[in-house]
Amino acid sequence: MILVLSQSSHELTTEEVMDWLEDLGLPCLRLNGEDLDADSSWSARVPGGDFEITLDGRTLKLAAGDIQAVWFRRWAHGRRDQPVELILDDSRERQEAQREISSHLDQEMARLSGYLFSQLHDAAWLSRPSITRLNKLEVLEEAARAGLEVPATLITTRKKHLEEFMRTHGGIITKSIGESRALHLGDYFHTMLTAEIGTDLIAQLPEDLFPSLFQEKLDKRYEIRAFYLAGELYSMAIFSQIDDQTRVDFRHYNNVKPNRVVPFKLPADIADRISRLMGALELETGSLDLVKTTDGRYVFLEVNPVGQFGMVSKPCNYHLEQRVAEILARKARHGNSPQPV
Amino acid sequence: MQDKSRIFMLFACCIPVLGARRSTICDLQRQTFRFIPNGLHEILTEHRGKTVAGIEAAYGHEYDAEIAEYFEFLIAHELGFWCDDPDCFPEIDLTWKAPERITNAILDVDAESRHDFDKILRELDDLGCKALQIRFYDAVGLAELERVLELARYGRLRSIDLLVRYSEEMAEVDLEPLLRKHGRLSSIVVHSAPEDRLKRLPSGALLSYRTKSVDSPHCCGEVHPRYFVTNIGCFSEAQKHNTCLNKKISVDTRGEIKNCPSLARSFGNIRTTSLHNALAHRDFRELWSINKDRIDVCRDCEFRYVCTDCRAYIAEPQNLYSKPSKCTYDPYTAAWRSA
Amino acid sequence: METPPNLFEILTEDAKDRVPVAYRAVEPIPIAGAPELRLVESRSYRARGYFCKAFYKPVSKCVAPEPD
Repeated sequence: MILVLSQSSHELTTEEVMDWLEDLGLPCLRLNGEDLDADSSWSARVPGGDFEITLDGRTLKLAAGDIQAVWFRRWAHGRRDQPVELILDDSRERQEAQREISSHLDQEMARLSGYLFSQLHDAAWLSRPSITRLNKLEVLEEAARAGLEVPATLITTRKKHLEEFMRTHGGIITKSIGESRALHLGDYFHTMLTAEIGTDLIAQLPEDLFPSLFQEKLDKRYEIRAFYLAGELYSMAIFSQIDDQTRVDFRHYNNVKPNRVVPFKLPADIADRISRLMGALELETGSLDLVKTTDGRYVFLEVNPVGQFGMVSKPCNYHLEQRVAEILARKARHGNSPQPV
Repeated sequence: MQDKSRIFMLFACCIPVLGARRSTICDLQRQTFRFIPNGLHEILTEHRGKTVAGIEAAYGHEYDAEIAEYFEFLIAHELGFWCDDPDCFPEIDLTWKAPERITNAILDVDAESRHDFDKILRELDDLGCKALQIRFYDAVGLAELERVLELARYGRLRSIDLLVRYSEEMAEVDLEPLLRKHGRLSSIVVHSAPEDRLKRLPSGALLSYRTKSVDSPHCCGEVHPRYFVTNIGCFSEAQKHNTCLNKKISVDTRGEIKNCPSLARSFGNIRTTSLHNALAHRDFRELWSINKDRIDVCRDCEFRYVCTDCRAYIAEPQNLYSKPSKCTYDPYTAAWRSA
Repeated sequence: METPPNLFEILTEDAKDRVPVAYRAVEPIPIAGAPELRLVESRSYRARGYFCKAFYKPVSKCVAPEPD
């Protein structure tokens, strides 16, 4: 049995991989993060117990011994308290208590998930859940060690150093140190994408800053999104520079006239360094962002360990959904040993 | 002044298709096509990867001005780019694959039909079917539509299209809530309606009233640019498969299981056999591999990978490879015969 | 449409100087601007919100689609 760990909606990719698993004749079970608390009911006895989960009236026994391979697609928690108000009082101290309760409930769920994952430790995983703890700054260090060029990067609390950095590089951008977040406010999502900052903005800043990340602004010829899958690399070029809206961050999608995206083949030396990086980070999957600069350099930006591969697979016709299913099938048969499919 | 040592590359999603008289560039990403002269098709295919100077020389410098104009046109319409590293830009792999045993199905219903919808929907679900069209030739009640949709509620279908005959029960105020309630519904087209009217819901679902009457499968098989689809799915499938019949299964008004309700051959009746059994018959897949490149006239047509075929109504009924009889396009003159 | 509230602007003057510089470039994207998805119920062991969309080609050809 192959266990698919995912989330309960907005997951077309999970469905497609499951269709391919079915085509391969492999039984699979999908467990969504929300199933642990949103509307399912279940029990587990510790130690060594199996999870007995009732979903949609069917009782399923999730016994570690029956699971040969696990696909960690993603894992979103749902909590049964989320539709209701925890405390009906907006005094400052009760708001604070509400935040603390919420954070404690999240922690409880995280511990529970951690236990479920550890019970399945002996199965062959396609990406262990620990990968979600990747740190972008450590990744830049590893990438440089692997021989990849990375953008000049400064993290500072001092405006003076930022000004020097600006003078050295001409143009700079800022982005968050960790994952970018979309904050919900009113009818809008406020998204922290990569943004160029100019001297006008710098002039308005105080002398002391919250630790902020700055990078040299690269002159892009095109951008590259590469999906790394168990030693294989599937790349796509994104022509973000034709359109002003997408020049700094292609995620400012132009839906009317989408950026051109085409299959791309990275030079062998760059592909080798990426493999080395992924090996060093102990990642079996990851979505990598690179830039090809106007002067012909390949610059590595970041890697997202649970990246969306649909956005590479579909336009390039790579059929990665099938490839993932084949790799899961191999893992279910042979464990983690690297045998060709 | 153009740099003549440059190499022009089409974006891999923009694919030139040669026709007898003119060609197209099919833009699979932006889902549209543009006409180009056959001379430009030759430059883009036979001289792919050459520098501008190389191409000019290949034509003995007779067409330098035209060649420059062609490239300006292609750049202006974002169909390609000047490329310094052509080895990094492979062509798109046009292999078509689908995990489903059946991807789409047609179910025909008239006043005499006695379908076991539950059985049919369960079997389609098991085959992995993604899209279903149900065509009601005679008036049908709202309650019956609701009953059928309820049976499809938890299945794997991603899209249901309903074609229904107009009646007082098929009013916008009744059908719109149906589209909202059943997210699987992609469209409801009401035929034999008093007027032509179209409404698109925010979800993308479509409600359309059409004066045209659809009273039998004989109404099917039209070929018209409005049916053309320029996308990677259809274009890649068209390379080796029949764009209408590949992985399709149908049940006609009498319950006969066929490739398509307009075809004569039955592979058994749904009352006495299953879709699985019909599909297992060795002849069931025979038509699936008749791609446009094997069909007379179509093989010379610049629309051949964006057009869905028809094998039921063909120019010469004895010749399985003759062109669709309802197609009025002539690729040799590049003209549509007015109906 | 009304000008959206800017996340940075609603911070207090003191807070503005105490958040990452990236907060000054946060961009509001209207939620209504995103296309409404047709998520439908499914057998829950597969998913609860199941993504539906029109098939990639016409299933039959009886009535030519009208342009929107």
